[in-house]
Amino acid sequence: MNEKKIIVACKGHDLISIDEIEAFQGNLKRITKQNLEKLKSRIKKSFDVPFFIWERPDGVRKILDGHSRRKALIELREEGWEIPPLPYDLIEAENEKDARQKLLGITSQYGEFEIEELSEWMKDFNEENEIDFRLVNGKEIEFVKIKDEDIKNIKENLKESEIKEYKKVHVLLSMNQDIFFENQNIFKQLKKIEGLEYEQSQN
Amino acid sequence: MSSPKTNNSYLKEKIILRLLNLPEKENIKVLDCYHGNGEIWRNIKNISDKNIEIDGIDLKEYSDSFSLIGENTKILKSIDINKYDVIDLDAYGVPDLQIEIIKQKAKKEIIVFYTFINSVMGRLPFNLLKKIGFSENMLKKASMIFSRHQHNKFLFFLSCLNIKGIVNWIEFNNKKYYGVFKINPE
Repeated sequence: MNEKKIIVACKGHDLISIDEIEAFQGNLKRITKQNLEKLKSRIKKSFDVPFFIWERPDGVRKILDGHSRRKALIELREEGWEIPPLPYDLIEAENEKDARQKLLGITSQYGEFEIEELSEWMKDFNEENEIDFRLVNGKEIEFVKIKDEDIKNIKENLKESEIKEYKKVHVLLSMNQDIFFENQNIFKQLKKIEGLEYEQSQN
Repeated sequence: MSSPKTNNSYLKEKIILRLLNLPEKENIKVLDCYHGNGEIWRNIKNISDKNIEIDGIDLKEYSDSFSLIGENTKILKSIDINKYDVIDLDAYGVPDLQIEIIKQKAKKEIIVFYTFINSVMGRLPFNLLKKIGFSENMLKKASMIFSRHQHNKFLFFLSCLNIKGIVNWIEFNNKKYYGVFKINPE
């Protein structure tokens, strides 16, 4: 019995072989080698989330969400893992342009989470803390234009300080008139102490 | 519905400060604790050649950004912050509690970007003032006195948390400070 078989732990509209689906994303979202290995490790435990697929009028099925998982599954198959038919859900789109917009909405470059990463996030959270997850699609923004003179300006105005050991004594003296002169004498003595910082109210 | 306090004035300056102080490595993971609409780091991703992954946290939902919704102090206490190379505290106010949590939990070097806004009529957070040695009694009697030279006191606060090294910052109108420092484990 082949122990290297992917366990499917989710349901979808139907099942599909990874050979029947095509990439749609191109290089829109890259996955680093390190993250791909992490993803493969997760998938080896189970395949948790269905693919989102757009079916073209000619019947060709394109992935809208799940490119990284497909890549990971192909590598796992090359490593001897058996990949069963996997769940998918269909996303409706009128045409390729509509499908591309939906793709950007799902896997926006602004949304650094893929659904796989989101599930990893959820494992890290303490159940006692109430944390609400909401996935909101990113809209396009107008990027700021940075010129060399902007960078030069910042470098020139950048201040620097070493974080020094902090040894101070804080003293609050009363400005009460009845003890004012007595306090002034105390104050004169305190001022002679090295390392003493004082602040006097103007009031 | 009232909108949350946000402060994306000096956006360009914040972006440049971060670009100049990114870690050397190629792949960077960022935790943006006041993510808002993600404008700062989206711009940085657009400019930088590095592969930057951003996880965002915000108290409010923004329709044009992805965020985890929740209080960042709760989330910081709950997650493994050592996954991150950079933690961004672009606060509206003083992110003293957040810095304390990060320092307590850090097991590796983490670059922290902060925003510190002087409150002209207000006072520094009691937590910060107590950390640098002001007593409860003093603060009850005259907290406004001890809230002068606020950014200096913020630097003292970092020292009291045993954070060492250099702080770099840019200052605007003696009120807004945008800076960066590194937190290293004990």
